[in-house]
This record gives sequence, structure tokens and C-alpha cells, in this order.
Amino acid sequence: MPINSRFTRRSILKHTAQATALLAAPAILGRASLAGAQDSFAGESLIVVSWSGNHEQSFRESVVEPFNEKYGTKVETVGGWDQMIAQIKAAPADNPPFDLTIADEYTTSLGLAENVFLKTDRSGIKGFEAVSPWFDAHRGAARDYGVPFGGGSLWMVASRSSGIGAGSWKGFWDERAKGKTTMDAAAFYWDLCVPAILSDRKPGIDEVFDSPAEVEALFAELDKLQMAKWYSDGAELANILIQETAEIAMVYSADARGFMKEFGETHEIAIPAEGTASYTNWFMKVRGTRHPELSDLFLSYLLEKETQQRFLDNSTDFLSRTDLTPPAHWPDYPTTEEAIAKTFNLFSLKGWDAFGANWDALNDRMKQTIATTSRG
Amino acid sequence: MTDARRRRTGEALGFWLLLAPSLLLLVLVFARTVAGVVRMSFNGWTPPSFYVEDVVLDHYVRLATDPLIREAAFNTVVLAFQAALTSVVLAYVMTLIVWLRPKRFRLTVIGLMLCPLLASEISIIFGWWLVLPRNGLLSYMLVGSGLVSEKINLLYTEFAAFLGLVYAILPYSFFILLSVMDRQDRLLIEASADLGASPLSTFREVVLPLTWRGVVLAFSQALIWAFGIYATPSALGPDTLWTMGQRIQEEMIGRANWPLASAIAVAMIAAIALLLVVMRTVEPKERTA
Repeated sequence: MPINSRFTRRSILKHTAQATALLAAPAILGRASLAGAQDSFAGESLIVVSWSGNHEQSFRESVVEPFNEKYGTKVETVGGWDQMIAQIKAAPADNPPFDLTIADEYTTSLGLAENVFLKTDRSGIKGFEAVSPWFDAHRGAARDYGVPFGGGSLWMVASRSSGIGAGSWKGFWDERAKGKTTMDAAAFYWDLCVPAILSDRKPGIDEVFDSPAEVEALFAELDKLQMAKWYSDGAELANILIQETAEIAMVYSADARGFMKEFGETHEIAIPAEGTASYTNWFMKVRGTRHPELSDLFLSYLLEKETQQRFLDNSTDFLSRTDLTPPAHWPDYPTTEEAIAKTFNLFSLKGWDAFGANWDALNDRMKQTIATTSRG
Repeated sequence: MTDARRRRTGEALGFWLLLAPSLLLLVLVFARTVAGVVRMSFNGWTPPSFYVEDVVLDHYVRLATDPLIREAAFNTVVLAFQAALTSVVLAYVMTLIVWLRPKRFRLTVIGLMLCPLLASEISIIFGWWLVLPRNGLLSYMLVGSGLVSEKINLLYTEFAAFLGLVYAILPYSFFILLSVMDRQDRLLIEASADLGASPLSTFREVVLPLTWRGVVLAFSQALIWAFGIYATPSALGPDTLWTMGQRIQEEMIGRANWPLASAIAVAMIAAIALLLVVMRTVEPKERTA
């Protein structure tokens, strides 16, 4: 074949176009190619919801900022609690207020009912192999959505001067604690978990998911308490402890690390020996997100060992990987499947279905408990 | 068309043209939103969804029959009336002083009254948390001054909720009353005194009738604000001081029951609207000197 016929103008243009398409392919088709991600996503923004308060701060410092540093992105985290699904529902379907959101079992149940989450293709997310099977075990069909980053739980705070300690939930019923205890007035289902953990009638917190008549036994236990004040949020709880209005408190792990820093010298803060009630923190891709590939990259990053270790070192939430080193502030951090199952009694999606059916009756009953036990 | 009629038509046209932008904004922003809330209140509800498209009266029936909602309504109305009445009385006294005193004094008081409006409700709550508890500023001041022998706790009491509400709504009452008071001629007081009236008679016969319209206006505004504020009574009051605002928050955010939350909101809007109608009927026609 004569040489001039091999390099016609048409063939040069054709080959140039093919080569360009080949070079651009990772960016066009597979922007999530992790090797080239540093360049592909530089400057791109993403909004991720984490739990408001101390959790949000830890998440920003341990996850978001290192991620932006690594990939040159503009990921932001905003705090939320119960309102995320409502915000997504209220926004246009193709322009959600955020791209990824944290979701516990209650938020997941609401989000799935409203169809605002996107399914996750696990083959595109690295790190699932290191995640504890405990996270999928109670998940049912919802496991198709999101990535399990970790979970939160109830912790106990006890003033050292009270002489009671945070080693057992029974401390709430100690004579010395009368009129000096505090629990959550709003999310009362967690309060019910405390007597349920102490009860032998059913395993874990299963009694909470019984009929109102059977849950009455748990209310009867709460009715024996004398509360200094039923708090309505973390800020109020902090004030109650600062003002020494209460000495024994139930706190969420999202806040427990902050309390350790603030009250560590004067208060003992721990998960009692009987174990605790817990929820899991999954990160869900929101329908209509305009950054699906960057979302996948961020979800993969959440499962990396370094990311999880950094977050664990800065928080009192538990993480989904089982190969992490217990941090100094939490030396008995559970790392085996057995220890995880023994320590964390999950308020599961199934549990929410059962509890949700009785919510109004139980909520009304809780108000009676508040009225009879409150001193504040 | 006569000149007079043409002029009247022109004036009416000008009036509506001037009004049109704000009217349009009201319809687009507020009326549309309120209509949405009213519609939502008739939807059905099956947890865990927010609502189910339907037309039912279930939530209004619950409003009328649920004892806890009735208790919240009672608490809200009593607290709002107490706070509104107190704020108007306090604001009236302060306005009177400002009105009668030199301008230097006036600016200081106006500046002080603006302070609560410059801070968020949450910041003000944090401030009260430092002032009212047993180990708070007020308790130390009372013990230090010898007025009480033991530290006292005012936080998480109905008084604290009342105090917080009065503090939050006082500026609104004050500025409404000040605008009405400023339109009056101070020489009338001198004239009344010259005619032999005592200060009390002057107040009763001259000042109060001239400013009564402002009192009614200030009271209605204060009441509307006191009705709507929910964080202050929740954060400062006792555990059992459940209000309608709290209940809306609980149903909307905690329970995800949008129709019931909307029905409570509609009931509150209706109550306020009714109140405004009543106020309008008792409101005297403007009297100026």
C-alpha cells in the first residue's frame, strides 16, 4: 500500500478523533476512575449532611477536610437531624438541597417511603469487604441503599462526685441519683431502651417493640425516677450539667466525645457494662443529585481504613470496619463481631415498623411519665 | 365624566397601582403558602410517609378531641395573653417616659429596646440560661445583695417562660406605642394642668384616650408574636409546659405527620385572625390633638 494512501486527510482526522475520545473516556464515561479522580473532580462541589453538633465537627475535621485536600474538591458538610427527608421532599426532584445525607434507621425508613434515595451499586464502591456483617444483618432490602459508615449509641454520664459511676444503667435508679437525673424528652424511645436493656424478659431492647400494654412495664420503671429535668436537645443537656442541675445523664454518642472534652475531669462518660441501644449511620445518595460520580468517590472514601480510624480517634461513634485500633478515649472499643453484637442493641428498621404503629399511644403515655417524674 | 369623578377614578387607580406590588408579593409568597398549609391539613396520613393525598377531617377531629392538644392550646393562650398584656403595660410606661424626657435619654432607651431584635432567639435563650439557674447571675446577685439567704433557681419555671416571652415581644409593643405617642402634642398635658387637672386625671382623660388605638395595636401584635414563639417557652419553661408551637414542631419534624401539624397551624392562624377581627371592632377611631 503506497504510503500516501495510508495517511489521507480523512484517516488522520478519524484517528485523531478516536484518540481524543479514548483519552477523554475516563472523564466522560468513567469519571469515578479512582486513579484519575484527583484531576477529574478538582473544584467540584458536593453537600453532605452529617448529624448537627459535635458529630458534624468531627465529620468535617476527620472526613471532609482530608477528602478535599486529597482530591481538590469543594465538599461541604451541613448539620441536620430529623428534617433532611422533609427538605428533600420539599425541593424540586432534580435539584435536591444536598447530594448525600446521613441516615439512621428512622430516617432511612422515612426516606425509602418517600423514595428519595438512590440505590448503591456496591461493585463501584471499594471497602465493603472490610465492613462488619452486623450492619447488613438487620437491614433487609434497605441494604441496597447507601454505605454504612458506622453508628451511634447511648452513653451514660455520671458526675464523679455523685459516687455512682457510669458502669451500669442501674445508676439512674440509685437512691443517691433521685432528683439528679436527666434523659431526652423528645426522642423518648431511647429512654425506653434503658429499662429494656436492664430487663431480662426479652433480649436486648426488644421489649420496646412490644404492644403499648407490654411497654407499660418499661414506663413503670421510668416512673420510678425523679428527673431534675427532661432535656430537649444537646445544648440544654450541656447547660444542665454545667449548672449541676443533674449529675446522671443519658447522652448520645454524637455528643459524648464533646462532653468527654468538656466534663471529662469531673464526670465519667462511658457505655455501661450491660451494653447499649444503637442506631447505624448510613450515607445515602439523594435522588436528583447533580454529582453522582463524586458522590460515589466520597462513599468509597468513607469506607477507607484511614478515614474511619481518623473519625474514630475524634469521636465516640462506632465505625463499620472491624480492623480499626481502639482510640485512647475508648480503650474497650468493640472490634470483634461478638463484641459488637453484645454491646450495640440495634433499634432496627423492623423495630421502627413495630414502634411506629404504637407511637402516638406511647408518646401520650410518655407525657404522663414526664409529668409525674419531672422536677424541672 | 365630570372633573370630580375623573379625579376620584384617577386617585383610585393610583391607589391600586401603588398597592399592586406589595399585594402581588403577599399573594405569591404568603397567600399561596397558607393555602398550601390549609390543603395539607385535609390530607390523610399513613406513617412513615409525610402525607397521603386525600380530603379527610381526621386531623381537625383530633384537634378537638385530643386532651394533650387541648392542654397545649390552653397553655399557649394563657401564656400569650399574660406576656402580651405585661409587655404592653411595660412598653407603655417606657414609651411615656421616653416621650416626656429629653432626646438624649430617648436615644439611649431606643438603643436598648433594639438590642433584643439584634440577637437571635437562640442567643437570647443562652443568655437566660446563664442568668436564671441556681448557679446563675441573678441567684448570685440576690444572695450577694442580702435579699435572699439561699441560692434560688428560676430556670425551668413558668415564670422563666413568661419572662423570656415578655423580653422577646417587648420591643414590638414599645415601637408601636412610640410611633403613636410621637404623633401627640405634648402641650396638651400642660394645657390640662393649666386647667387644674391632676397628673392622674390628665393621664386618664387626655393621654390614654389619645393613645388607646396604639395600645390595642401593640397588644394584638404582641399577642401574635407570643402565640408563635415556641423555642423560648420550651427552653426556659418546665417540662410540662407544652405549647401549640412545640406540638407543631413535634408533629412536623419528629413524627413526620404533616397534615396534623398543618391542622394545628391552621387553627392557630384562624384564632389569630378571629382575634384581629375582635380587636378591630373594639379599636377606637383615631383621635389626634
